[in-house]
Amino acid sequence: MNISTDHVLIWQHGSITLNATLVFTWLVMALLVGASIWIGHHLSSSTRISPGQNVLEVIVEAIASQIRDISDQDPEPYLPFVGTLFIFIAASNLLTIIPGFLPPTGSLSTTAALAICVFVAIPLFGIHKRGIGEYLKDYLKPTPLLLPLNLIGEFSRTLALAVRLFGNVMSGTMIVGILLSIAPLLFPVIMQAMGLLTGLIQAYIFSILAMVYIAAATRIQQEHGESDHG
Amino acid sequence: MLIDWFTVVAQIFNFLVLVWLLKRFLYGPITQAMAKREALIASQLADAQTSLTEAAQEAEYYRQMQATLKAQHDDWLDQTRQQVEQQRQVWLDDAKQSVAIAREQWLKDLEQEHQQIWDTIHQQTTQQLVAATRQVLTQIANVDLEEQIIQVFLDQLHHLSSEERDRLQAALTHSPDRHLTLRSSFPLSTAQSDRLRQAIYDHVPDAIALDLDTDANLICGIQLTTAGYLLDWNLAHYLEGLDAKLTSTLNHTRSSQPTHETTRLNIQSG
Repeated sequence: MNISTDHVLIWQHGSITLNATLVFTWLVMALLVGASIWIGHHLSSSTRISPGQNVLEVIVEAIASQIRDISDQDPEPYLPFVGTLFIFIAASNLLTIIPGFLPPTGSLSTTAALAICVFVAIPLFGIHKRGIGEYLKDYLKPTPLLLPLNLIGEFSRTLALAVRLFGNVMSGTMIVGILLSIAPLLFPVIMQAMGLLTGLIQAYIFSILAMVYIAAATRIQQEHGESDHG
Repeated sequence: MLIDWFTVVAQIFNFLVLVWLLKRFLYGPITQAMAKREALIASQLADAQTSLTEAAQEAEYYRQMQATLKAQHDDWLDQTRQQVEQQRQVWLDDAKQSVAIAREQWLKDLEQEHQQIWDTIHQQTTQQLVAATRQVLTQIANVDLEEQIIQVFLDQLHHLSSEERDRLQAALTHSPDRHLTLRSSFPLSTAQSDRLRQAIYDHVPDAIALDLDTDANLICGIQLTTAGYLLDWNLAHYLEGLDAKLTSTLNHTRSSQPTHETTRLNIQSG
């Protein structure tokens, strides 16, 4: 049994390997983009809308509402990044219900890649909002002596994001695999259902934490601005 | 090694591409559609609010108009009631007046009819009485009625009291030419006229002239008149006494038994 889907090789040419993680990631991407394009062609701005559009609007509006609640800002700039995090992770985790589907989020490479994206996005949003000088000053607060701890905190939370998601998804897949070999009739189904719930919760936690970090990087600027005005 | 760095780089690239694609095909169109719908709903709400305001204004207008119409209707109703009441009062007064006139006319006719009946009764009674008296006197006493009347009158003249005689003298004095008039209900014969003339001149020596005249209105009798004085004997006096008694008796009977006609008239006049 492979712990990570990275080890399931589909095609290899030299150092370039096409593993199951990438293939299923493209599959999820194709599914999401295809559904978006298909529903987007039938979008209606009237009060009578299709069920698919209704579902998408509910999801988008829920994400925007969460962003608004957390950051107390206009969700428009953060919606594509945070929303894509949630939708991609949730879709990957929910598709595990399909036999043979290997969730890309069960790969530490994928979760690390997403965590790195968050790691990079936080200073980018902060600098975009506040400017590079103001943003970097935060690492020297409350005292320059805490600069190492602040840097360690940045890295550690990124690492925690990656490992938490990977661990939960991977463990869910592993448990189902183990139970299939022990009691193949009932327990795998229950665990599979639990896995769906866990997958959604993990998607929610990952995207919410990402938004909290981003909001922390941008809200300081707001508070600073407010104190300047005050 | 759990992390394949090539995969990490590829997944970062994949995620960024996915962010761009979803922004292009999902978030953009969805948020635009929601914004359009929100604007549409806001516009519809504004239109609805405008319509509501207009409807409220219309309702207020019609409410005021209804109140005005009701006030006009009430005024018209009051005026009509007053006119009807006035007209009713006028008609009622006219009806009362007409009933009163009719009642008065009816009473007058009734009285006239009553009088006619009494006159007829009186006349017939007189005629019957005169005829009966004449027949009785002729058959039983072998006496003529007119002769007997003359005799009674002469006895009455002969037995005048001194006061009566003075009154006759005084009245004769006031007469311009001391003129006396003798009227009888029947024509006098020459002998009767002479006898009467002689008797009058004997008892009233101051009389200068005496006229003899026949008057059917006397019914049955003789009277001697001068200025302000009258001496007569007439069967009508007895008949008047009989009339008075009959009238009194009939009136008493009529008052104790009211007729239906009188009752009906009393109801109408009330």
